[in-house]
Amino acid sequence: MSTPTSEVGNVVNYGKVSIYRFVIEMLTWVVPALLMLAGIFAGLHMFLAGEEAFGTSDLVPWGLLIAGYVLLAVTCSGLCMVSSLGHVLGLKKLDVLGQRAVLLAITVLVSGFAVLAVELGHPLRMIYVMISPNFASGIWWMGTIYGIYLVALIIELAAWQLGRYKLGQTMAIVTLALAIAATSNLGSVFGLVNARPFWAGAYYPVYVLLTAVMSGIATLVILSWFLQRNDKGYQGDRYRSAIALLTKALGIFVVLTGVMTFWKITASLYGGVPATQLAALTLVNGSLAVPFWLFEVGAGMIFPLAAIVFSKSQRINYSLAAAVSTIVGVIFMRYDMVVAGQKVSTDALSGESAVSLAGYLPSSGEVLVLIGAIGFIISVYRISERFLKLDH
Amino acid sequence: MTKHYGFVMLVYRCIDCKACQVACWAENEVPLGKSRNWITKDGYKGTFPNLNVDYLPGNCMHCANAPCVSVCPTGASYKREDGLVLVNNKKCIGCKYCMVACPYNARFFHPEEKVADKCTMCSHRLAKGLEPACVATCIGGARVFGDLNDSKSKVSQLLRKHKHKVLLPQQGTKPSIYYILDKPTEGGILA
Repeated sequence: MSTPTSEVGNVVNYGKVSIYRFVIEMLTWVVPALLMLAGIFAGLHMFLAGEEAFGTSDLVPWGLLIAGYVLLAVTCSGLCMVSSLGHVLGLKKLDVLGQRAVLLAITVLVSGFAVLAVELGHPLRMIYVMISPNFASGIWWMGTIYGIYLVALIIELAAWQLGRYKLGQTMAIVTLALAIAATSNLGSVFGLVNARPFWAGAYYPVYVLLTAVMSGIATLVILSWFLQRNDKGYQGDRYRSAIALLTKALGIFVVLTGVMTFWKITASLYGGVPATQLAALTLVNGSLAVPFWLFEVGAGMIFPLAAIVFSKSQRINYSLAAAVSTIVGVIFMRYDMVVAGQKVSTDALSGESAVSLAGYLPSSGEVLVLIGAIGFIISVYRISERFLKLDH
Repeated sequence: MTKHYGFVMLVYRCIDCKACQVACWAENEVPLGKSRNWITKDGYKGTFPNLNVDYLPGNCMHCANAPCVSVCPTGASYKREDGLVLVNNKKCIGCKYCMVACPYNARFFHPEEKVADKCTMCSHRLAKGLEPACVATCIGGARVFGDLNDSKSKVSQLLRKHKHKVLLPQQGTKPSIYYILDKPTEGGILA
């Protein structure tokens, strides 16, 4: 940094700029760390207080933390799938993000497991997943594959770091396969529940896979934007080139997600199955209408698409806005998916469906845990970034 | 032949006194605000002033094809040979997948144990040769309990003689709880 000069005439005061940058830099460390701490305290409180600290009930047993876990786990898979295009399928423009995407995927998945641990009554009993497995359970397959996937991601990153490129290349293929398997299995956790007609079927395994790629792309756009920000050189150009490509891909996946959502809602409304119709109505015109229209459709689809079309994928700030907006939308997509499926109950005697009287609103603890997870991701990623050589 | 325990609910006998719920709370130390069994109201029938309402006693259906058992990742939910669907609390991770998968909403989350809880058909009482607490206390005799595989048992006799139904048959869960909705007579008097 240049020597500070006096505040005379038009001379720029580099001293003040330097302090300003220092404060901003510190805030980018302190704020995520505080968010993480808030999340940890909220998680501990919820663990001790139990059910009272959750917004869930016996009629709506899954809430924001399950939605948050889905969000984080599939974003992790999406990061892996998109970055694999670089070092598995040879898409050179994305090569620059390879190791960083793997590091971010590990961080995101660990945060996802942490969120899930808060939701579970007894996370330490997960050992029984290995001791007495139930192969018929969708959660068993999803949890096991994600566990193996995390180990594979760590091996892949270690291989790149140690210069074992052949092993890294092999592990990249393995993690790509595991990412696809884990994500579609996560969708099947919902798809295999016949008691919840809005979820049941093959739709969610496919939908979750598709939107995983979308959230992975959006996350990589945000990461690339921050990486190119202070780099006017060759490396910065590589990131900007990656952003342009990723933005185009984001546009395609936003459109595909929009088409899938349109047909899911349309088929549910007019398909003649009362339970799915009522669930769709809670999204279109019921208690979930604001999260659905404003955030899932507005922030998750319309705004990003408008930003991408308007900028023709050439303005990186528009790309950032589109990506951030997409992530906001994806958070609500997961929330809507999880809650809408449970809002309808079927009368056991008549078989008639009705919107359940049990409402669901996330508790402050649930919200804080999810915010804390984001703080964890930023903090751990930035610390790791300092110790690892990610630009090889 | 192995036993297959089940219930037959004589709906017309239920007076909605909820003694079954109270007995269950006391017998099984069910936490406040939760219940392992219930009584639901089946609308109003007839025209004014001749109106009628049925009360349906219910609890876990102890399904032969139990979705809660198939979705449990650790095998904590399991089915015994005698037809009882139970939860091994020591294995339950509290993921609530069984609660989500149960079409009858028969399970609840135990706030202290932090596990999924449900009707056990009072398996501890069965081991001593006693009936479930809800059956023993039912003042109207609406809850009939017995071995569905024993042709001489009261439940088998009722099912042989009278029209009955299970709840949500379209779910394919094959419940062990049967409902007799009309007023069956035997020798001119109510069964």
